[in-house]
Amino acid sequence: MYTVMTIDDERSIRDGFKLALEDFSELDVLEAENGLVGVELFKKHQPDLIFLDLKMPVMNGAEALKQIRALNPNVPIYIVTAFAKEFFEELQTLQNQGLEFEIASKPISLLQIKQITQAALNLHGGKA
Amino acid sequence: MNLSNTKSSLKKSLIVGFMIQIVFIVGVIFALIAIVNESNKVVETQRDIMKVKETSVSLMMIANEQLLQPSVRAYQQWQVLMKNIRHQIELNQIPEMQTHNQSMLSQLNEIEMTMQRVHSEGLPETVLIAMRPTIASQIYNLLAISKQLLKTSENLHTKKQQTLFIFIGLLGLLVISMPLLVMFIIMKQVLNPIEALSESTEIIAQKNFQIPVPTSKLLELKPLVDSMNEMRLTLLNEMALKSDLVEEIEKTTQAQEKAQALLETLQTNQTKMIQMEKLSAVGSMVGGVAHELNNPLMGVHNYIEYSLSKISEPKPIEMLNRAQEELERVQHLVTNMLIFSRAKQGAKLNYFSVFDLVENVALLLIAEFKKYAITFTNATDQNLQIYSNSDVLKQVLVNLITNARDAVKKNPLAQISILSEMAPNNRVKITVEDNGTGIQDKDINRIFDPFYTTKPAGEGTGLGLSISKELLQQLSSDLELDGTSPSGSQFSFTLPLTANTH
Repeated sequence: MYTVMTIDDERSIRDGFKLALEDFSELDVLEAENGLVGVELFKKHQPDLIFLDLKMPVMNGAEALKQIRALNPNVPIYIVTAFAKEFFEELQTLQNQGLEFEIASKPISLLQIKQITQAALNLHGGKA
Repeated sequence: MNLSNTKSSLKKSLIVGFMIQIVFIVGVIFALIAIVNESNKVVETQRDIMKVKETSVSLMMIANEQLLQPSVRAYQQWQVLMKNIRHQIELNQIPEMQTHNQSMLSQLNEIEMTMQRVHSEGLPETVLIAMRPTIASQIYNLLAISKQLLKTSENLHTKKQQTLFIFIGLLGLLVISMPLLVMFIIMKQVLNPIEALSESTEIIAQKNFQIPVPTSKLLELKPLVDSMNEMRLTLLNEMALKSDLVEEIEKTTQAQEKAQALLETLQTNQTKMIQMEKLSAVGSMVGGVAHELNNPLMGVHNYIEYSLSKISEPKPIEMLNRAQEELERVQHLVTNMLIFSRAKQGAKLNYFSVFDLVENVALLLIAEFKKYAITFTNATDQNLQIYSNSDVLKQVLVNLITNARDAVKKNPLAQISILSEMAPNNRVKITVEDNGTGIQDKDINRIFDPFYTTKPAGEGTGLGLSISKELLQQLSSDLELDGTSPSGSQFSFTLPLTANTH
């Protein structure tokens, strides 16, 4: 069993991840509406893959990334972001701080979510 | 004649000339009169001498008679003759003849003495006869002397006549020389100054107003010279004014040209600034809106995608597909809007392979190539590393290839190629080439304007090329339309091979 966590303040985005991955019987999908909730859930459930939004209330993606990386340096984290100036700069800053992450650019389709997840967790089959 | 004076009047010179001439002529006339008088005297003397000669002959005849038969009457007759002859000799006052006169008078005295002896002493007839040759010879002497006198007077007459001729010739010469003199005066006094003036006018005619017209020797020309000098000075001033004016005009023209150039630069800059401001304003606005739109659109897209996978009825599937197509158009627009707003950011540079970059872009668009049966060729050099920003270039290439796709999609043999070639200044030129429909002339100047599109409503955002140009300018490059025709278009830009050429 794998656990995937989506941290995003937009319900429709979180729904996308849930809907995309519901066909994978071996996956649990966790939802967090901000970074703080995400960090708490990470501590509790130790998810295997994280999709992280940058712009969020309470705690933003960058802070969440730092805290999660402090707890676990190896878990794959995909920052889901649009091609936008401020995000681009933020990503550069994060990279320069030595934080490891991948990028999934918005908009991202269900198919792409499935493909990324399969690749990241080395899954085969499912009902993709 | 005052020819050598610095200043003189022609009138004065002519008057002086005339007066001198007249004095000469009057002198010559007086001389002539004197000579004629002398000549007349000589002629009169000649007459007297002729009389002396005649009287001498009468004297000889009376003497002869007295010697043959002395008588008181004859003696008295003789005395009267002697008196006459003496008087006639004394009348001749011509100096050249006085020697002859003296000898004639002494001869007469001798004759008289002889005759007195004959008359008073009553000499015998034989003695008287013996005296006849003596008296006769004395009278012959008298005749001879009078002949000599005649000859002398003739010589004198000839001389006087010669002198007369010389003076008449002199007079004629003076009379003839008068017009010559006038001509000479006129030439000296008028022609030379006029020639000098003429030279001056020529100099002035050659627009050389610096050399003053020399003061003329002729008084009559002075007003002319003065007014010429005045005219020359006026012209000189006007020339100066004119050259000032020309200079002024040149300066003004130059200033005007400079101002014009400046204005053009300003206008160009203004156009650029307006463009940039437009882009910037549009950029920030678009960025904000796109941000807010991006997430809900993605959500909606995913809801539809999910629903599509869950239903089997054909009609709803078709409708949901259409909804998704519409949505994708909106998402595409929003993505472009976000890229456009991102164009303002500074991009980090590093080394990477052009070939790999193009391969990555091709992977993103492979579905599109398949959909429209487009042959895509990555003809870039596989060993070429460039120093740039791959994310930015990726976006540029996506935009250019997407445009190319729209241009070629109706072509059954659609082709899109990316080429690389070496460019000056250690750069590489990347060209995106298609065999599509090309760009129409009316659109060529506007293709880089934001929101300018020739595609049907909803199919293009009109941001692709403007964003690409903007992104490349951010990388110190520029997007250019290399060529376009109904059989295809080529867009190109250059990129640095190393950091130090950037």
